[in-house]
Amino acid sequence: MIINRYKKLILVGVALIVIIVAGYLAYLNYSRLGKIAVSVYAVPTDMRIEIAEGQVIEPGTTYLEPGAYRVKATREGFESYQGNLIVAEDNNPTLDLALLPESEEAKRFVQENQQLYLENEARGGELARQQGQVFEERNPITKLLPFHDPYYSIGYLSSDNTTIKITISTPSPLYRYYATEKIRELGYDPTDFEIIYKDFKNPLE
Amino acid sequence: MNKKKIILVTLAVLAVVSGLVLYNLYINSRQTVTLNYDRELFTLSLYDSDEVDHVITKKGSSIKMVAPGEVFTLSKGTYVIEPSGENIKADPIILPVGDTPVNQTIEIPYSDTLLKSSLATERDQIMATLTRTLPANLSLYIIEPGKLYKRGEWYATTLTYKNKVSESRDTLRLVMKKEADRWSLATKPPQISLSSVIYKDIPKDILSDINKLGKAPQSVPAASKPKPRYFIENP
Repeated sequence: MIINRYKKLILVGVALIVIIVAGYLAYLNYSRLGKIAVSVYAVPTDMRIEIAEGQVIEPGTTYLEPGAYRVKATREGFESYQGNLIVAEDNNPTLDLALLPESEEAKRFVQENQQLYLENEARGGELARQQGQVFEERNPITKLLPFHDPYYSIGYLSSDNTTIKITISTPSPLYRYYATEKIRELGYDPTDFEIIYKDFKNPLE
Repeated sequence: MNKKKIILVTLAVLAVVSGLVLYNLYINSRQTVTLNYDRELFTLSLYDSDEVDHVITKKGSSIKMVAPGEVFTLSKGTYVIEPSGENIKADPIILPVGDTPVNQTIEIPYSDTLLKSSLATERDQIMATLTRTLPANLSLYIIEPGKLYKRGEWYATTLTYKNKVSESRDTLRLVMKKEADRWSLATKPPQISLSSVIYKDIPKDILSDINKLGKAPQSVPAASKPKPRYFIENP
């Protein structure tokens, strides 16, 4: 009877709730357009994580535009952390922070929360494995390097964890030639790489 | 009577709708194609394609002689274009026809014979540019004859070191480009291996080809061979 009496009100109320929820979800989607989900783990969880001038993020999932960010994490009693975060579509960005204790109180916190620090270590290992996998997928030749021959060696350098430069070390011109041909033998075209011949001094430079 | 009329009208409507659907399917299964090319150098024949062991080849006889700039439609799929002309490299070209209109300029490189004969006329200018642009140490090298590529606007060669015992006797490579009737070095300085990562504006097939050419440096007498190196750390 009461329901019948207030049928209209209930319907309007439900409709309003649906509209508000739908509107909120639409706003969330719109605000995340062009942004990438970044997983943020923090130990201790109440540290202050600053990624840009005045922009603070919380542990959990945060949405950031692709690019490079300078990260600063601080909490009283703990050592501050500064580092870089690269946010790109294909690199599964994760920010995993575990501050080291300085004060006695902080040290007690670490003792009491060892499990959190162990989980952080495990994630670090998994992340390194994943990032290593992405790096190897982008640069499959790295699975075959470094290559060592008694007369030359072929290695690689990477300054951005994404692209590589091949290095060839030998003082002999003939073995520089053989090393370059070795890259072909391994199934790759030397043309596809920047090759640094470490011991070669170019007379025409 | 009414019932008959209703059935007739229904059938007519169904026929019209089916017709429209079939027409729409037909239109969507085809795509417009425009191929632009220099008719004075070659003509283009279009073929259906066949795939054998992941290699696409032409199938049957030519379905069309394509005029430059002509707009025509083809069913979506893969085709083969075969150029023919006297002074060109008549390698077939794969033409995929998909969801977007095809508007392509076809540029066919000159034949090896024509490029070889063109090189004879270009060589003096090329040599003059090299001696003017590179350091005096160029005299340490023999400039090999080299090759012209594409339509004769690219040149690449190897430099063979004259001194047979120097530690820098690696064969070097360079590429030049002709623009507005003038040759200039596209790769500076000449290097052991030319990289497509560094020289993004040079066609990769030219870099790959010149990187394969050139002789291995001569080996030296046993006394001056490098001793074996055994590495225990990462380079």
